Amino acid sequence: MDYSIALQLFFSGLNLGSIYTALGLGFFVVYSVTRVLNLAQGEFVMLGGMLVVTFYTKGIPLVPSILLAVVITSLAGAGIYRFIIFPARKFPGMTKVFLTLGCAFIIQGIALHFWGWEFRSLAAFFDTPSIQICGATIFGQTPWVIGATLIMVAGLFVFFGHTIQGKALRACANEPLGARTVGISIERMALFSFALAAGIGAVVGALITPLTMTSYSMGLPLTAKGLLAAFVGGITRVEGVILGGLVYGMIESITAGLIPWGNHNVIALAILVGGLLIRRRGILLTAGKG
Amino acid sequence: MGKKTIFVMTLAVVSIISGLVSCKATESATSYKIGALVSQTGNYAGLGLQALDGMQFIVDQVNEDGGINGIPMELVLLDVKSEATEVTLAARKLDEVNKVIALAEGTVTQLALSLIPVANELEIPSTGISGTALLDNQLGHWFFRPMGSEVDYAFLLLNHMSQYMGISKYAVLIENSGYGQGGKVFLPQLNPNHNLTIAGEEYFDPGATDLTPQLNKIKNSEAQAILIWGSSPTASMAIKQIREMGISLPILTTPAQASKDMIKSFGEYYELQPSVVSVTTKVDIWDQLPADDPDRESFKNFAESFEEKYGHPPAMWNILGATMMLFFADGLERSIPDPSNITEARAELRDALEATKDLNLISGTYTMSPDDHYGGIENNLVLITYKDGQMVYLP
Amino acid sequence: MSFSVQDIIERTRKISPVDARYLAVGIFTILIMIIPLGAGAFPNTVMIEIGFYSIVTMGLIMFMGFAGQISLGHAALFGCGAYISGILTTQHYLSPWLALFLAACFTGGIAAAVGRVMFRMHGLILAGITLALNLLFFYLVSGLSDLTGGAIGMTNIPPLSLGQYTSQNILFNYYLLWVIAILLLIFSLNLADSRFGRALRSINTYDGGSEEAAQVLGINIMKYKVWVFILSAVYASIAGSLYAHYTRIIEPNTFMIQFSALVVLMAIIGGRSSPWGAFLGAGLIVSIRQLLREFAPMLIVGPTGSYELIAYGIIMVVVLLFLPQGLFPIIKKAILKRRPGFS
Repeated sequence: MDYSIALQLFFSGLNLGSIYTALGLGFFVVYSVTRVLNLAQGEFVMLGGMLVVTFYTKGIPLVPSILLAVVITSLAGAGIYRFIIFPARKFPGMTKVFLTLGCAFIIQGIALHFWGWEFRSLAAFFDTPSIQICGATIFGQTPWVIGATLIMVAGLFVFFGHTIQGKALRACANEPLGARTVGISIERMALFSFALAAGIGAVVGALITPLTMTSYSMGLPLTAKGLLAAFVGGITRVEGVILGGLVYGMIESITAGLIPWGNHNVIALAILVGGLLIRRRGILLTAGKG
Repeated sequence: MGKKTIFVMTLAVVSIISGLVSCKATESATSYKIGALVSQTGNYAGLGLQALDGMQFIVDQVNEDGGINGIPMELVLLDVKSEATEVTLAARKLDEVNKVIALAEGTVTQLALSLIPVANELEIPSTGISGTALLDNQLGHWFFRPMGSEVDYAFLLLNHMSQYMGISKYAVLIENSGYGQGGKVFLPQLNPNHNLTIAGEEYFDPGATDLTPQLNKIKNSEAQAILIWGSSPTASMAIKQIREMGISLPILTTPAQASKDMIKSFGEYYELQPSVVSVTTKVDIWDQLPADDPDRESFKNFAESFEEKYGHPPAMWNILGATMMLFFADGLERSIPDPSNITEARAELRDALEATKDLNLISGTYTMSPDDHYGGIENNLVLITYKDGQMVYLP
Repeated sequence: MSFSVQDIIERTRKISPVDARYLAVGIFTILIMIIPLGAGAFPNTVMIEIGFYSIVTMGLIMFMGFAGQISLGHAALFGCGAYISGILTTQHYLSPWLALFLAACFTGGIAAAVGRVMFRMHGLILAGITLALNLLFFYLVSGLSDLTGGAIGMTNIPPLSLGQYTSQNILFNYYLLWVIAILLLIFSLNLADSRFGRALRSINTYDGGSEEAAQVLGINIMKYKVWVFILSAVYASIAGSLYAHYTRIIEPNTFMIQFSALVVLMAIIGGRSSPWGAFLGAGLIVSIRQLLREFAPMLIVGPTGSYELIAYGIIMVVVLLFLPQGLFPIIKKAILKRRPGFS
């Protein structure tokens, strides 16, 4: 195979992989603290993207726009936990999953009401030009996506692995009773995890809008893809999410480049689902508990 | 019985009963009611809402001029949410509850297609927006398609490539959609007429993020130009990615990319040399037409009065929506059916529509006959390119 | 002989649960059968829509409510039925009845194969897998354009017919669909009360069962899970075939995740503990949708799709928070209040 084609597939895989990793991080944060699959995660991404475009087109500079979007989306996430998930904290896990699905409907409806059906796009951050390397292209937005994902990953890694607060969060999921005994407020931790996940979602939304455009109905498909990425790697560890996201991105890029007919999505999904079915607890053998 | 129980049961019973009863309200017939099946939500909402504006514009215009023989036209709108099932349901409702005289589906091919069996079963003269000739052998007795099709504008594009660009091999980037499928089927049939061959055929999904793997294959093929065939925003985004990848082949596109929204989002990439060539209607560039063009005056009137009312010049789907209403208005004028006897009125309208002759409907000039329900004889489509955020006519 | 009210109540009190079940089905059947006599074609179309959703939801309730599993991919099973029926009748010219049957068998077979592997996994991960499988199905049918018509869909699917009637006739289709729905209801009700149903409940971790305990009692969990998944798939497939032969056109977008989410919503609102919940949930959601379409435009200018979504979401949240078992148990309790003999 031509060298430049292989390189292009690699860059494209890296680009998609970072997006899927970033999508998966939101699931990881909520799941590792509360053992809830948050099906509204894709809607947070949509909400973040929509808000950034709205603020940016109103004349607010990019960075404050993103910060504003993150704050608002985090508040939405915290609100969802406080008023919808918290009252159901004693219910079975499945009920909470369905509650988040209900929230997804509500957020989608609100977005449709305020923003309409239109697709919104944004220029690459700070109009970064695309780069050519050995005949392959890296889009201007790609370094921002990879960079931001790396920062979020590093942040979560340090936070969950090396801070008291982070360890407390993990304890909530692993041993709720024990955590309570040593004086950790599980509810406060869960509230925090929802806000954090929503904030991460908003950042992802801002990152992908220049690449894919944003519309009110893009949440559910994003949820499905992010969830798959997280499960493939292993949803209970940051490393698992990174691995899952990268594997997903690479497989999608390679199939799109190598399969001559227009059906690469089927192959990519089949490989992932098949792999997951065989190695059912994810590549890192961490998923599937609880 | 607890209060909660009573509340829940009342809620359930009331909503089920009123859901059924509310459908039964009937109205008296003092106008020509036309059912508009338009997607206001879902994947194709953008196109649906545009078509609706175009339809409403013509209906208002007809009514301002005193209606049809004194009887006003009226649009009855139902959202079909970009779903085929909803079209079937909505058509039945418009038939029974609203007693419409005709139906117009204003979104995309898949949805128009789902109206065909219902329209023929309910015996309502109908039309739908679809830019593909894939439908033409199954329209039946009651469905009409006064629209251009890919065969017509593909001719323009292919001719431009072989005659003006001197190209013999091109690559085609096709959207995975009903519209894209038309291109997939018809392009290979048309190529030999223009001495063209396809050097690369790639596909993309509406909503895809990164088309570089597909585009890289095109880049490394022998293609001398790229033809983009699709109607979603992703098709326009592809142009951005092609240019960012440093591919400087000429790009040709189908009409959907020539919309104001897309030019606003991706215009700077459209204009990079060699600038993109698109098909669109003459209405878009009526002011650049030669002064002796017979249609110039009618396009000017349409475009100016539309802009006055809606604040922007008519876009492709505005024009297609208007086309459908003009088609019905003409049929109604020639038959003047009695709206109170709906069955007969529908049959009379259908016969009149089938006898349409040399009618200029802005998107083209049409003549229908019993075995030809699409009948475009001359399409008012032209090629344009882009400069300074404006479309420039390519004579 | 006296026929006082007291006497009738006294007699009904003695009805056994099995008789009561058939009594309820009987009353329901009579209600369903007389609705079209008074209603026009449009309300009948709405009822037909409710019927499709009810059958799929019933299958989902068996899977979700009896066995406590999660599926966010039932649209794919529904689509399997529709597409197989479509392919067999338009390309191999089989009778639509035979196609319906073969589609159900085939979909069941797929479910058996997938289920066998899938159920080695536990709990929430199933939600992710079924969601991904739904996406996979969508891409598959949009991509295989030679077989499925691709994104443009399949057209000219022949209607189901019986003598001179075809499923293009609204009334014929109404009765056909609802007779099948009621037969499936009877089957589900009996199943719930059988050894199979009780075994399923024992593994329903969602509603207090325990897989470990069931295993200790010698119940082959895997076998039961796979079987209930197959049944659920067959229900969805039958509904899909009926749908394909009714609308006579199918396209991939119908079978996207949104449909799966909607049937989950119906199952939850109706109540996942009993097949009756399916009719309640489907009826309520479809009615609300029609009501919003009817009355929202009078109050609000512009598209009303956003209010539908918000209404679905709010109903789902409210039901889950305040009536976690759905509406059906409440209604059942209300009806059976004065008959302590019933369970």
